[in-house]
Parts: sequence; C-alpha cells; structure tokens
Amino acid sequence: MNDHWTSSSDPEAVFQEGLINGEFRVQKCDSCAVVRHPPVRYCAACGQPDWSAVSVSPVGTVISWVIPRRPNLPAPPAATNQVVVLVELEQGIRLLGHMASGSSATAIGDQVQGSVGHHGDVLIPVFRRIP
Amino acid sequence: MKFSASSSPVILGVGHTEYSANSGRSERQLATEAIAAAIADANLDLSDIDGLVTYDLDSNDPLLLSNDLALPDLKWFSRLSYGGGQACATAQDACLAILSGAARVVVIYRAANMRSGQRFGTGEGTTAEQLRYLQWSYPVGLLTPGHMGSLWMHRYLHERNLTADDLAHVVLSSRRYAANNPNSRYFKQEFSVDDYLASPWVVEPVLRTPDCCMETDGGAALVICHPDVDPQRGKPKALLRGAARGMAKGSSILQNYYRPDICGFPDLKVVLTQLWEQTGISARELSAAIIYDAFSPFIYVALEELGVASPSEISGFVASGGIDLDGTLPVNTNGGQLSEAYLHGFNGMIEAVRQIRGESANQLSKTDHILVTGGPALATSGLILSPG
Repeated sequence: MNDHWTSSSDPEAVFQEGLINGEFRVQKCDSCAVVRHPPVRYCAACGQPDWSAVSVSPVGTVISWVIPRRPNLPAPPAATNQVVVLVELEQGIRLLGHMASGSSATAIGDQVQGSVGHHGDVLIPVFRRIP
Repeated sequence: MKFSASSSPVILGVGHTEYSANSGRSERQLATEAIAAAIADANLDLSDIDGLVTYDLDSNDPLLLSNDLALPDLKWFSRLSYGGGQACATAQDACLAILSGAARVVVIYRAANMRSGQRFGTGEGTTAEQLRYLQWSYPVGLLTPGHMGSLWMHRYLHERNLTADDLAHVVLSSRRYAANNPNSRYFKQEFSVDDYLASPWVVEPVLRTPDCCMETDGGAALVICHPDVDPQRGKPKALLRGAARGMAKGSSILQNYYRPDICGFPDLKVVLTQLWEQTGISARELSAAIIYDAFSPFIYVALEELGVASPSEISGFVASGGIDLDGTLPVNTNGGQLSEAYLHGFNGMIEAVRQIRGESANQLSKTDHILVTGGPALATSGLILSPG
C-alpha cells in the first residue's frame, strides 16, 4: 500500500511516512520556521523553498466535524456514518481524520489527542477526546 | 481591449433541453439540442458559429460537436477546468475571443446526464486528476462535494450562529421561485419548514437533501456575439458588462480548511473586485444576483462577500425576505440549482438573460444590472448583464 511514497525529499511523501511510523510528520520552513500542511514546495508565509520534515504534537482542538450519511456504497470507501473531524493541532496545522469508534458526541472546541488508525486499509489520523 | 457600454459582447440566444432526472438520451444529443435551440433563439444559423467553449468535464468536446452540428471553420474553442466554478468564465472566454477579434459568434454550452448517468453525489468515478486535489480528504472517506464542503460549512454556520431554520429560509425561497417556474420539477409545489426538517441527512449536522443542488439531466447553451452581429428580428440583447475569473492565493476544491479564516469565499472576492472595476457599479446597484447554490449555505457566504449584509445581519436579511422577489437583492429567481436544475451554472446564466429580456417566470421590475456567479469555494468566476 502506497509503496510509491518512499522519499522524504518529496513533500507529498512526508505525511504518509509519518503515519507509517506512528506519528504526524509535516513540513517546516527552514527560513521562517512556519510548520505547514498540506505540503507545498514554497512556503506560503515567506516564499522560500527549503524545508525539513518535523514531527508535530498530536494534541489539538476540533475545528469542525461532520457525519456523512450518504452515499452508502461498497466502494470507494466513503466515511458513511463515521464522525469526520477537522482538527487544529497545537502547532497550528489542521488535519482531517476520524473520531475513534466509541467516542462520545463530538463538539467544536473539543480537545483531542491523535494517533494513527485506519479507514479501510488506508492509514489516517484518528482522534480521541481528552477528558 | 476592455468591456465598455459601447463595445461589450452581447448574448443573443439561450437554449436548453428539458431539465429531468432521466433524459433518456445521450449527453451528445442533449448538447446538440441545446445549441440548436440557442441558435434558433438568437435568430442565427448554425453556420454563423465560429467558436465553442465548454468545461473539460463535459463529455462533448468542441471537435465532436463541430462535426455533429456540421459547423464551419472554428476560430476559437476552449475547455475550462474546475467544474462549475468556471461557469461564467466560459462566457468570459467567449468575450475575450470576441474582444480580441478571434471570433464573432461563440456558443458556450454544458450538457450532461448528471442524475441518470454519473452522479457527483455518490463519489463514483472520481478521476486521478481530481485525486491530486483530494489527496488529503479522500483517504478519510470524504468523497463527494457535499462531504468535502460540509466541514467548512459547519464551521461557518457555527461561527455565525446560523441554524437549520436559516438554511430552511434559503431553501424555501428557492422553492417559492420554482413554484412559478414550469422548467422546475417543483413547479406549483408547496414546501414548508416542516418538510425541510423532515428531509433526510446527506451530511449531518449541515446538509439535508434539499440543501443540496438537484442532480439533473439536461443541456444548455448561450450564444455570445460581437456587438456588430445583427440578427434580423432578434430578441432583446443582454449586454455583457463584465466577466471575470479568479483563483485566490491558497485556493482549493471545496476544502478551505487550511486557510486561517475558513469562513469566506476569497476566490469570489477576486472575481467581484474585477467586476466592480470593469462595470463601475457596486453591489448595492445590483437588481438581482444569480448565486451558484450547489449547497444552501453558499448563499449566506456569498451575500457576505457581496457586502449586502454584515455577518451579524445575515440571518435577519434572509429571514425577512431580503433575497425574495420584492427584497433588497432578489437571488436565484429561477429557483436556482437547489430548485430549478443543476447544470453547473448554465441555467443560472440563462435566467439572467431571461430577466434582462422580461421573460422570467419571476420577472423583476428592474433589471439594470444582474450578477451571475460561478461555483464558489474553488477557482470561480462571475459576470454582470445589463439590457442592451
């Protein structure tokens, strides 16, 4: 799965490499130190191209959540009846992911802790509420 | 070359097939029917056409149709990306070709079986090219435009304290317009807040089925001409006072999750700024707006970008009838894509022309300037029509 993502010199590969290693790994600008995601080749903040891969804290806040109810198709795998969240991590980047099954009702503003889980056979961020 | 009152291109013809859930014929057939109808409406001949513009997602490319319609030599043809976002950019493309002297009679068109064929609402058939834009949403199972857009729509509704009642007001307004419009399947039908609240979720807690545009089979076309083109016994002309496209910094396909402020349409702002500059008019001078309503919350965000109401007034503006026929800014007088048809903005452009001609099912008393917008929350477009 996703074995074409092999080099961390490719900005798109960084996040997936992080998930394989059980962490959230993103780009950090070498010039202005802004952490960014999704990956791009030039920093939107300062316009410079050089960057390094960094691992970020998986703790964050729910910015938004939804539960897709339709479609209900066998494939491709929709997140039907799954709580999908947009989370802003402590370092400012935002990630899409799922709430872990069994999580109680989600609300905007919830503090959550992320880890690496699955949607079908794909690795994705999965979050749990911090009580 | 610029748009001006004396040299602006004109829309001389509009045409469309019936809007249905099952056309029973090919997309190619729908396209030829729509173009032939628009040319007949313009009182021109197919042999007058020297340009064709459509979307790259339309299955009928200009080459196919130039043969199907036995067209003469074409001097302009293009296919634009980013779906309905570029609805009005197809008109802008025609204008640019005309203003530059490349072509004189350009037909823009869109034809598709979007209900009986491949449906956007199911996520089926997503292409590899789209996947590059969807690389971060697709893995978590957000497959459809409704899925992708709902995360920021929920955040927007939360920040503005807008509720299901506010969305119902948008849907009810569009259904009231559609109730007078024989082209709509909701013609002569009533729809209540209770009907709205009883509708099933598509994406909880944002979109119920009536918050989402209708998936439609149909074809539509408009004939855009050099101002010198003079069909004898033609209908009233609609003057293209301005047309623009815009891709804001950090643009996306319905996924503005990563901008600091999730709650606006920056691409639309780029377009509106150009339109005000081209036409010299302001939002307050608009007689009506045809706003691309793939989903009901879009209306609120677009009204904010137009500046017709502040974020704190936006709920009351719509609830008090601000977008109805006698309101401050009538919106989507055909019923929009929520209640007339979803043809990637083409039926909206046709409605604007009908208003200018005095042919709308919900005719405005004043039609000085009508704004049309393309799909927002992605690279978008817009145009302004005035009577010729």
